[in-house]
Amino acid sequence: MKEFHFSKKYFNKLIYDDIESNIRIIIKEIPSLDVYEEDYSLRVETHHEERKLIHRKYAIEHHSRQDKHNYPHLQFKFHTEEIGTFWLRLEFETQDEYKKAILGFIYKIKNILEDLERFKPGICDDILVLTLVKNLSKEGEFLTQKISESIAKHELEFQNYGNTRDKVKSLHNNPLLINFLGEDNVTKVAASYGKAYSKKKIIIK
Amino acid sequence: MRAKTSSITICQPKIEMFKYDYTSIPSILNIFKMENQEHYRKELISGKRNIKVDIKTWNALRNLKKANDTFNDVILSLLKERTVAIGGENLKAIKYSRRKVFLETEYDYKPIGAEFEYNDVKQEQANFNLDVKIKKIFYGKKIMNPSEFFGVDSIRKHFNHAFLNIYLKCVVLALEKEFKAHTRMIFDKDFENITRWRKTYYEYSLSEDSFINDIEEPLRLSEEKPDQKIIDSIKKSPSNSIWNLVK
Repeated sequence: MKEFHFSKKYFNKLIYDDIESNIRIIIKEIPSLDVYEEDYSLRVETHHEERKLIHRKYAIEHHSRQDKHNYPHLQFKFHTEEIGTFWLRLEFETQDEYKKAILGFIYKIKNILEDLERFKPGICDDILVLTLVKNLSKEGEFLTQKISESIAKHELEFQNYGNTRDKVKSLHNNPLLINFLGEDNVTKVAASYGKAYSKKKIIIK
Repeated sequence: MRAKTSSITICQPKIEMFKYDYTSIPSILNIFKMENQEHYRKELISGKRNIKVDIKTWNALRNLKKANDTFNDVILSLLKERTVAIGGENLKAIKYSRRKVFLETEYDYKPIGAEFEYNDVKQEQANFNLDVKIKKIFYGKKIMNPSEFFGVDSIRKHFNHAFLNIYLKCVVLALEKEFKAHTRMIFDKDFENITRWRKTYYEYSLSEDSFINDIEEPLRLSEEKPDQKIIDSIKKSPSNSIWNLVK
């Protein structure tokens, strides 16, 4: 049994609610001992104010029962910044690779929370077990590499409304997402959407 | 609303002009060497065809693709799964679709719900395996993966009495739905009585394979002693705090 349960080790708290700074962070994990048969999900949601209310959701997960996204993927919801929802498929050879990517996700979440330090100093240390998370930089690089492989092989998939080109442009202007996905990767996404938006083709040889 | 479709572009058979090194050409039909020119005309025997699929099917095929697979590979492997030939004998591999059902029940007087799946056996009474898998547990105000709730994964369910009991209740429900088989099992202890199960399978002429794999094996394995890691995992699980399964 391989245990996929990381929040109990790497997070001090699963709900952070500071009325003074109006920052709310929610961490939700659906743990599993059996990822071949069960869903797994680690979701982080942030709410804060910055000229307007900014609401962002990040997730690494798979859903074993759905037709869509039943493979491991990253999911981002950036509706308040006009990017909407987008997904990035991840491919792993083994469960250990999947675990490594989840740890890489937690490392990247550290960077997300560090961005909020300007509104609430000490928030990162409050939410994360920093002594452990700081040592996950290699896993962070692994996830960036997996993102790169995914962009090369599959498209970064945007939810089907609005103008995709505008969303790609917004992606390119969002420093947090550039930091999370990797600058090279965001450039590749922009380049791939720059070509004529392709029809879905299957060529049966 | 018109379903979205993906249109496919396929190469049609056509005459191609290629520049070849004559000495390296493999033996293909209808190769001509033009006098004083290095162009050859080759008639392609094209095995390519057009198919039109809707977006949902396209996504489903794409999800089945492994790292270096083509769509052609995916479709071929789906076709291959229908029959497998081994050394002259044909073995029929039956691929079932899965049915999803919800069970509302109790264990030791505490209400619990389970969302589970099993093979859609389509009334194949004599020859089936249910392969019941519990996907989600509903208890109190929470929904959990069964491994989180019970502290063990599905293949080790026999180590947790509550997990095994709920699993067997799911099997009862599946048999009722598929074959209108009434087991008449009411109390929790009834479900762990193999004689009652055997009687049901006889009465309704149900598959011997299913009896062995779906019933007999988990009951037999529940007598096995788990190792300490498994005991500790069950101890820490919500199911143990509710039912005190492990002292």
